[in-house]
Parts: sequence; C-alpha cells; structure tokens
Amino acid sequence: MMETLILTHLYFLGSVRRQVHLATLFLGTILFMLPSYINAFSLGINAFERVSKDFGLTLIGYFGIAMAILLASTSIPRDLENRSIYPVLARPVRRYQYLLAHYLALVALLACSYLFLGLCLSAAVSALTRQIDLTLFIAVFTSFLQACVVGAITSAVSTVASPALAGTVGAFVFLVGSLPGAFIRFFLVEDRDNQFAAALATGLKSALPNLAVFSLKDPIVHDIPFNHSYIFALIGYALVWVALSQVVAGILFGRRDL
Amino acid sequence: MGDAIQFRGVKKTYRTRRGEIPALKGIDFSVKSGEIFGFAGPNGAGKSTAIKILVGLLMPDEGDCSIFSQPCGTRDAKKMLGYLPEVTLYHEFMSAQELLRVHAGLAGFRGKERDERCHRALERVGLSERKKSRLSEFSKGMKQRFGIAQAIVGEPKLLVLDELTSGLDPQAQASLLELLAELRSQGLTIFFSSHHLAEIEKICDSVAIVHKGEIKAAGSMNEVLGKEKKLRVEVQVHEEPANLDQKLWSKGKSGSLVAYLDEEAAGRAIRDLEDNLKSVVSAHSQRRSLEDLFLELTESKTRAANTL
Repeated sequence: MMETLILTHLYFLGSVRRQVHLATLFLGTILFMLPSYINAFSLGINAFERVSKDFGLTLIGYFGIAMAILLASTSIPRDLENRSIYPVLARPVRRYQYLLAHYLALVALLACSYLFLGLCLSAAVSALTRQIDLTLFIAVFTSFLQACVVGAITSAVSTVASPALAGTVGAFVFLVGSLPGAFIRFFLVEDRDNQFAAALATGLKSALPNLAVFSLKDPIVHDIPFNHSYIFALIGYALVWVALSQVVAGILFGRRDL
Repeated sequence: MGDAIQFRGVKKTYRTRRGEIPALKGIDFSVKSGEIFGFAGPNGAGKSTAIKILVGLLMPDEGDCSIFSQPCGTRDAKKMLGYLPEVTLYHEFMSAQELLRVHAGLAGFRGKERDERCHRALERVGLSERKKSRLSEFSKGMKQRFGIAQAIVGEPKLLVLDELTSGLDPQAQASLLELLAELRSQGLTIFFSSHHLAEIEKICDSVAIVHKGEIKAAGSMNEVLGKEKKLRVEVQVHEEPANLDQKLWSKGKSGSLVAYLDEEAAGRAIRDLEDNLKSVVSAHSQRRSLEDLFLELTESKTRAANTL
C-alpha cells in the first residue's frame, strides 16, 4: 500500500506540472464572473440565479470530463514513451499498484479542480443571492463521480491503446453513457427498421455505465426534492465501475510486454 | 562464488501484425556473483529483450531466468536488483534528492533510513553537492550518475546497466567506468550492456556476445578471447577467393581479412591467398580483441563503428 501512495504522490505532482491547473484557474475565473455576463440579459433575479447555476454546473461537468479524458488517456502512455516506467516496475512494485497509483493521482487532481470550481461557482451565486447554497456542491460532487468513472475506463483502455484511441473511447463512453436510454430507443430501436443497429445500440447502452444518473443538475437548479440516500447509491455505482475498470486494466496490463 | 544470474533456454518471440519475430532463441548463460559482466551484440540482437526479462518487464515464452536463485520478475528477485534503463527521462521537475527518496521508498525504506540511503547513494556517485538541484539542470553525464544512484539506492546485490555510457563524452565515460570498478570492489555484481566493445574488454571480467537471438560466445574474457598472444594478420584482397578458409579468416574493417595465427601458419595462409592478395595491412603479435571476435561471430560486413 505504501508503494501505491508514494507513486500516487509522484504522479500527482507530475500531473500538476502539466499545467491543467491553469485551465482550471481560467474556468474558475469565468465561473466567478458568470453573474455579470448573465446580468446583461436582465432575466430577473429568480431566473438569473437559476441560469447562473445551470450554466456553471454544465461548464464544470464538461470541463471535468475533458480533463479526466485528457489526463487518463495520456499518463500511462507517456510513462511508457519516456521509459520512466522501467525503473519503477523494476522495483518490488506490482503492476496493479502502478495502475492504481496513476488512477488515484487522477482522482486527487480532479477532486482539487472540482472543489476549486465549485467554490468559484458558489461564491459567484452567493454574491448574487446573498446566501450560501450548499446543494450546489452536491451537483458538483456527482459530476466529479461521473468524471472518475470516465477517467477509470479511459485509463484502463490507455494501458493497451494509444492516447488518441484511449481518448476517443473515453469520449465515446461519455457520450453514449450520458444519453438517456429513451433517446437511444427512440432513434435507434423504434424509429429505424434496422435490427442490427438497434441491437448494437441497446447492447452498448447496457454494457457501458449509465452516466446520466450522475446528473443532479436539474433537481439542484430547480429545487426539485430528491432522496439524499441517492448520493450514496451513486457513490456505490461509481465505485463498482472504477473497481471493474481497475481489474480489467490490471489483467490487460499485467500480461503486456513492456 | 555462486551465480548471480542464470539464463536457461530462454526463448521469446514477439507477435506482431506482420508475423512472429523471434527475439531470443533459447539462450543460456550465467553471471558469477561479484563480477562485471559485459553483454554485447549488434542492434536487434536481443540484448534489450534479455535485459527486460531479467528485470521482470517481459515474461519469457520458454526457459528459466533467475537472480540469486529467485525467479526473475518476482518481488524477491526485484529486491536484489537495481536497474538503469537506456535513455530514461526522469521526472525532471524534481530535485535529485526528491526523486531518489521516491525510489528508496519503493525499495522499502522509510524515514531516517531512507534519507540516509539517499545521502549515501548520492555520495557514492559524486552528486551529494547537487542533491537539491532539479534534474532538468543536470548534464547527460550527471543524469547517468543520478541513474546509477537511483539503481543503487535500494542497496541491491545486482546492478543492471543498459547502455550506460551511450552518447557521453570520453571524460564522462571514463569517470562512469571508474565508478563501476569502485562499485564492484564494494561487492556488487554488475550486468553491463554496451555497444562499446573496447569498454567491455577493459572493465568486464566475463562477457557474452548475442547475435540474432543466440549466444555466440560466453565466458570469462580469457576463455572467450584466449590467454595467449598470437600473430594478428590483416590483409587487403582484390577479391575474396572462393576457397577462402572461413574458419581461419574473418572480415575486419574496410573489407579486410583478419586472422590470428602462429608465425608458421601465417606465412602459409598468406601464400594461400595467391593472386587475390593486394597488400598486408599489418602483422603483429597481440591477443585477439573483443572487436575482432565480435566481427568474426556476427559476420559483419561493415565497419564495427557503423555496425554497433
């Protein structure tokens, strides 16, 4: 376990050096200034608050996913390319520990970014409403869980594929996973008379994680009540997918010739 | 002395889209504890594959490989191993001390003991005064020194160095070779792969020459090169005679022919070349060099410098 933590620290520092935090800072600034852009539309205070929250959470969600895919698809291939993996794996370190360390470093970086962006958005909305809305952080947290799942799958693919392919798979998983099942059924199963496409679409939708469940943006923005135990269910669902991805990555990478 | 490394019938084939590429065709050799072992071979001979199997980055298809009787790739084998790969980009934003702490931690050392090991390793490679400098500020020679420090920080019994001196200036090369001799005197076994045959001949106790996935020669320097000095005859010919005694003559640099012979046999061999003889380039008494043996075994048709 100690080896995993040592490597996590090393890869976290390495990821920070890749200057993604500059992009986080940039987005944070945009979020902080959000009310002043939306103010120009003069929608009235109620809509003003909702639009700010909706727009801010959407931005955070897409940014987090992009960051997760970018970092997860490139971290391990970079190590292989510059051979810095060799002296590490020549140590008494198991390959799954190496993979887990990379993933934990990604999660740590995502957590820092999401926290910072959540604080920026919360500060911006609080400045507008004169009260702190902690429910915003629930939506930010579930969005973070979504990025963790996409990052885990992308990272697993990157153990055997190029960064471009791993990134494409990550983006594909996000797109298919985020589409509601009804959307898939409507366009590919009922509306088209193509059995193969319908079976493929349904199969893919069933095989990939349902990322739509992580979106709590609408209940938060529109004050729709929801059961808070749902969040624990989401954590469990995310953990299952992350564990599954790590196991698959461990099997694939464990057999790979380096 | 026992064996530090044993390779027994190790085979490895890479399966690619273009088909199967046999990298090692069942190699056997052993390295005695406490010696510097040179591992030589042209590009694509299978050196890197053998080294990767040794350090546990590759699994052999067949055969056994062990480090101090522990199967290669196991945690027990890795605990006794320090490895410096060829051309590694380290995490250059870190200082030498910081990255060394990471490697000492991975080797299982914690707290004060870890710091002491780092300090000792940096001192042994002469970098203790630069321990707080970032690796990005290091010259190539210093990076290789750091690489050795990284490899020895776990206080291994076996050091595996892949192309340690590649791309370094002669001064840096000489200083690293001195360091290796010093590490050997401290009891370390060193497995040293290099393209510089003169370097291997100079510092290694034993050697193996690998070519096309097979070990062409292996043993102590004396066993491989012969103890006695012979007459080294190098001749230029207009055209290679059809009935050339291949066992006697091997190809040297610039298409010349080279043979190691007794005086009497030398005269006879030159006469046998008859009309094809252009000139005798040199004839002097010396022990067979590793480079000559290498060219002989690998049937190189180009200059050694170009081949290697």
